[in-house]
Amino acid sequence: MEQLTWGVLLAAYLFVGGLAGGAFIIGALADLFGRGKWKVLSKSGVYVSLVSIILGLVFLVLDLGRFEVDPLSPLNAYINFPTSIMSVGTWIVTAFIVVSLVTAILWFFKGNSSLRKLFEVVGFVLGGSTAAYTGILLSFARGRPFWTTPYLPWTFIISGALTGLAMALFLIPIIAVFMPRFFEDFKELVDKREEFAGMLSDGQRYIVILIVIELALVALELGTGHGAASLFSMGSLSFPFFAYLILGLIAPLGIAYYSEKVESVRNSLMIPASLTSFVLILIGGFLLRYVILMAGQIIH
Amino acid sequence: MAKAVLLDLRRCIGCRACQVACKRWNDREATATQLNTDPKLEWTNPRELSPQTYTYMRFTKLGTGDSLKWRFAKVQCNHCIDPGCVNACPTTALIKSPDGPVTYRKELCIGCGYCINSCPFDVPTFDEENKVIEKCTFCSERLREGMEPACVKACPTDALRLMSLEEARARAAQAEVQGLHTYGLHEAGGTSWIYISDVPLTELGFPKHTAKTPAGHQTDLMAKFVGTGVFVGAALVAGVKLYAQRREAVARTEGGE
Repeated sequence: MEQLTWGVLLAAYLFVGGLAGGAFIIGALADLFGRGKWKVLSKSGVYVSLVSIILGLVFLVLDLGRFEVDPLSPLNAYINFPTSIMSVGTWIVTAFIVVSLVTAILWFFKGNSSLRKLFEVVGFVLGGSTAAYTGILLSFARGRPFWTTPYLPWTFIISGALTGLAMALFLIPIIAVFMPRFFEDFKELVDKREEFAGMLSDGQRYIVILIVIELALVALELGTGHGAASLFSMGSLSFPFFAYLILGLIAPLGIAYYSEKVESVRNSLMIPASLTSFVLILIGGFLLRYVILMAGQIIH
Repeated sequence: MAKAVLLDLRRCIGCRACQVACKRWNDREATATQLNTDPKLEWTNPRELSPQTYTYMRFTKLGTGDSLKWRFAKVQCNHCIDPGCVNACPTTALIKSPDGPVTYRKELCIGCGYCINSCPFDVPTFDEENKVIEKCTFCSERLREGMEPACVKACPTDALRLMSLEEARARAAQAEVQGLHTYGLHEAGGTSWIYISDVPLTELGFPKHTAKTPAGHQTDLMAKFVGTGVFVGAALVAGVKLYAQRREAVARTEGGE
C-alpha cells in the first residue's frame, strides 16, 4: 500500500535542516581557516544556520499538525533516551540550536573570539551531524528500500554544504542593503565592489567542487537505489528530478564556468550571475529532498 | 512465555471470519469498500490495511485457465521479534511485550509516521483524524486473560493457531524441510506470526526481506556510510587543493603582468 506519510513540509524540514548544518560548517571553516579574510561570510553562515534550523522546527511541528489533538505532545520526543535514530536526531538538533544561537550572539555582539572559535568547532560537529541525520533518518527506514543506501546521507550533507554556502553568500548583499545599520561590515564589504565580487568568485569555485561531488553521489544513488529507474519513467518524480539536475546542479556549473571565463572580478554581470546561481542552487536543494522523500514512499 | 500464531495457508478457505471477528473485537467501523481493480486480486476486499482495518484477506489468483488456483493469505501485523517500528519510535509509544505482541500507547504517539516508513511489512497506518497510528495489537488484552486473539478464535479450519513461539518456529522449520514455503521464520530477523504455504509468500504480494534485524540493518548501513565518507572526504580535500594550486598559479601570472 502506498502511504504518503511525509509530504512537502517534511521535505522543507529536511532541506532547511541540511542547509542549517551546511551553513554553520561553512561559517565555522571561514572563521577558523579564513585568516580574518572571510569574517562576513562566517557571520552570514552562522546567522543563516540559526534562522534555518528554527524554521526547520516550525516545519516539523506544522507537519505533525497536532494543534487540535494535543499541542504539547511533540515534546514526547525528548523522553525516550536514544534507541530511535529520531530521538538521537532530536537531541542533536536541540544541541545544535543552542550552539548556533550562542555563536550567533558571540558574533553579533563581538564577543570573545577564542570562545567563539570553540563554539564553532563544537557546532561544526553538531551541524554536520544535523545534516547527516536528515539522510540517516531516511536510510534507516526499513520499509522504504529506495532510501536504503549509504550515499543518501552523504548526498544530503554535500547538498547541505552547497545550499548553506549559497544561502550565506546570497544573504550578504541582501542584509547589506536592508539592514546596514545592524550589519555595518556587511555593507562595507558589499560597497567594496571588487572585493565582494572576488569573494563571490571564490565562492563559485567551492560551489563547483561541491556540485561535482553531489553529481557523483547522485549517480551512485541512481546506480544502486532500489527502483531508481522510476525517477526517469514516473512523471510525478521525473519532472522535479530533472528540474533538480538542470536548475540545481548543471545551470550553476554553467554560471561558474562563465564566471571563470570572463574577467570575473571586474565584470558587471558577475554579481547578478552569482546571485542567480545561488537561488537556483537553493531551489535545487529543496527539489532534491522532495524527490527523494516522495520516491521512497512511492517506489516499492 | 512468548506466544506466536502459526498461519497455515494450506488450511485457509478464505471465509473471512477472521476479518469480521477482528472488526467486532476491536470495535473497528465498517467502511465502504470496493472490489480490487487488480485482476489478480479482485476478490481482495478491503484492499488494504487502514486505521479501521487491522487485518484483511488477500485473495490472489495464480496461473490461468486450467492451471488457475486461488490462494488466501491473511495480512496483519507480524509482530516481529525485533520490531523495526519499535526501533524507530522516538517516544517509546510502540513497545514489544515479552509475551509477543507489539503494542502502542496512543497517549505517547506524536504521529510522526516514522514507524510507518520503518515497518518491513507496511503495516502501521495513520489515523488522520486523531493523528496517531493504528495496527493489529495481537489482541494483547485477550492474551493477558489467557484467551486467543479474536481472529484465531474465529478460524473454523485451524489455519490460525496460537502456540508458543518456540513451537511455531519448530513447526515452520519442519515445513521448510518438507519443501514448503515459510514467511516470518527468517524475514526481518523473525516474527511472532509465521506463515506456512505451498507457494512462496512473495508471489502473494509479501515483500522480500533478508534475515537482518533492525540493528543489523543499521550497523551495515553505518559501516558503508563511514566507508563512503572516506571517498567524499578525499574528493573534498583534492578539490580544495586543486583550487588552491590554481589560485596560486593565477596570482603568479597576474603578478608577472
